[in-house]
Amino acid sequence: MNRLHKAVLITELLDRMRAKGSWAGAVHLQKGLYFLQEMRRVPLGYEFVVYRYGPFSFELKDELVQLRGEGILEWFLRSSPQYSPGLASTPFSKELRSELPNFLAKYDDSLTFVAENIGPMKSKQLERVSTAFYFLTKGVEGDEEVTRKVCEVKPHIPHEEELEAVRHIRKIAEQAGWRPNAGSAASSVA
Amino acid sequence: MPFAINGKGLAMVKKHEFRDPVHSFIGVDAGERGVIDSRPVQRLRYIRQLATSHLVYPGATHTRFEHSLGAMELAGRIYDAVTDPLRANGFLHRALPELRDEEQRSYWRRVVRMAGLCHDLGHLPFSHAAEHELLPAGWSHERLSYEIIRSDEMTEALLQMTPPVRSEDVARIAVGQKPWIDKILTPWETILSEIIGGDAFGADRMDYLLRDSLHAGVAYGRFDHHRLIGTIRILPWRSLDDEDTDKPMLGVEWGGIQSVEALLMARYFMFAQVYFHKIRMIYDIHLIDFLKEWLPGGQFQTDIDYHLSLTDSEIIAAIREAGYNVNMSGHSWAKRLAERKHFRVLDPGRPQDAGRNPQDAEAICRATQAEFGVDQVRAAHPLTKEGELDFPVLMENEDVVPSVAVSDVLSSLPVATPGYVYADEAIFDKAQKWLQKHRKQVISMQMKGKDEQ
Repeated sequence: MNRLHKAVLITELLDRMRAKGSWAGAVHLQKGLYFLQEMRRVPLGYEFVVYRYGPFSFELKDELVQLRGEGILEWFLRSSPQYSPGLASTPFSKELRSELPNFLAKYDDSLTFVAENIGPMKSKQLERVSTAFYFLTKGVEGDEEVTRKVCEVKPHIPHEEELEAVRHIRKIAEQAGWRPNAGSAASSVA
Repeated sequence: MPFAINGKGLAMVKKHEFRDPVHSFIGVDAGERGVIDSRPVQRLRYIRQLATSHLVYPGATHTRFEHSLGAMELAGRIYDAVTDPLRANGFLHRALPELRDEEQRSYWRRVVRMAGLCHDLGHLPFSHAAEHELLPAGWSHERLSYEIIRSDEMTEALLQMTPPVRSEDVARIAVGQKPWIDKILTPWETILSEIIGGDAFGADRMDYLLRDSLHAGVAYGRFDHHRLIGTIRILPWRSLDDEDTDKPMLGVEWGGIQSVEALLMARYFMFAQVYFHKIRMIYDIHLIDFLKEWLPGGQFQTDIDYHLSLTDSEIIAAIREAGYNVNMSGHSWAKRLAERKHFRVLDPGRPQDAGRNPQDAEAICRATQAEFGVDQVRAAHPLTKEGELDFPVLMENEDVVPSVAVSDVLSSLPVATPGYVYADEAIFDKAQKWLQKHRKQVISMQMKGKDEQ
């Protein structure tokens, strides 16, 4: 997928997640795009690793900085200096999107699905469900085994809470029509 | 220059020192010297830090070897600053139990220094210039570094240190978390890897900005790294939409915020002025075009012995030979490099616009190539590697707040995102006239095409 297409999907997802109450920080957008790629198999082509708050792509991090430089994303500062800045789309990004209605329509269902199911989650929950899903995509089977794997790399998460997160994300994955061992969208090119 | 202080009970540790234009002296012990003397590290003496930049900035002929020594030195200093027992607290001891153990702290200091030394071992000739298009899919200089550090030769050299250092630890800290590394880094290893490669506080970045600006003669890259390192801390970072999410992360005391601002401004200026310089970028493209024709199969191999056998020296010799021999592969591109006859900037992008279509340069390039020939036009639209600007700041009242929220400089710092299209001198005037007439149409057709994909 080329950079223009990625830019319109990123900004469209961001707007939709914000409309569903997302805090819209870099963590939230990274996780939203992770689910868009891995659960809905939208071929964004990013490679994710498990990092501080769960699956994270260094390429995507650079992409978000680039999009700020190109005037497609911008920061918005919150009312209190205690709070980390959020990301917002710019009027220019809306112009770009308005010129690609057919392309966006192809991914409309996936964008809506992720915005509705992932958008309202806060970072603590996102870390738990996204790390669980990461291990599901790696072929780890059984809720207990996934929970054990997550707690092994993230020992601060209580077992019972993680088990609940595993069950929750598995339900969402079923609704999304996701099946294990169907490959990743990371290396797809469209 | 080695020296030893023995006898009289004064000291028993043999030390060596390197003179360095940035850090004055860089000291190493005998074990570290053994690693420095290894074939993979010595090869870096023949890899230029800034690829073809010396064709624009004549002084920029410094090498990855001196940068690697500098990164090792700064990595050790940062490590000492952030693991200082006087700065430890309950949060740090809970989040990073390694800090409580003197033996562990001592071991990991050696790992961090060796990771700084070895982080660039996988660089191809001409560093980044040729990496993306000339390695097989899934490979990068980082992956090559990872494999070389774990090779028998480097493993043996690291095990000779006292105490012995595990090459696997050095490799992970040197390159950080990557998709091709099975093990997931612990919070401690994550912090250590950010001491090497972190966006704002990494030893790699600090050293290359200072060193590249010095050698290129571009003063913008300087900043007060002594003050900065003295104020770096491991701080609890909280995603503030939720409670109980504190994670250890590199940050800075409020007193050091101006030195970070200076570093990040230096980073922006160096990208805008040196790394993304329009003529340097077209030389890189000519180099890639040459290598695609000159290398067997049009690519570098990932075999370690092959990698270690190739440096800038072999490629420069090939360029000089092919540039003056019409029968050799890559002659036309080699001639451009050897005689400095690069393409000229046909379209410099439109930085005055509030926003820019991320695909403009590529679209203009393709359309102009269709009109004038594939080998007559090239585009450069590098993606930024400037990294993020958001990190925790420890305020005087002991609150920890996001940097962007307390620094007007950071919240308004621009990002260098150039997009250039170049054309051969032979068609330049015609292409310029053609582009003036068709630019708008090319951009608009591009959008139509993209919507149909």
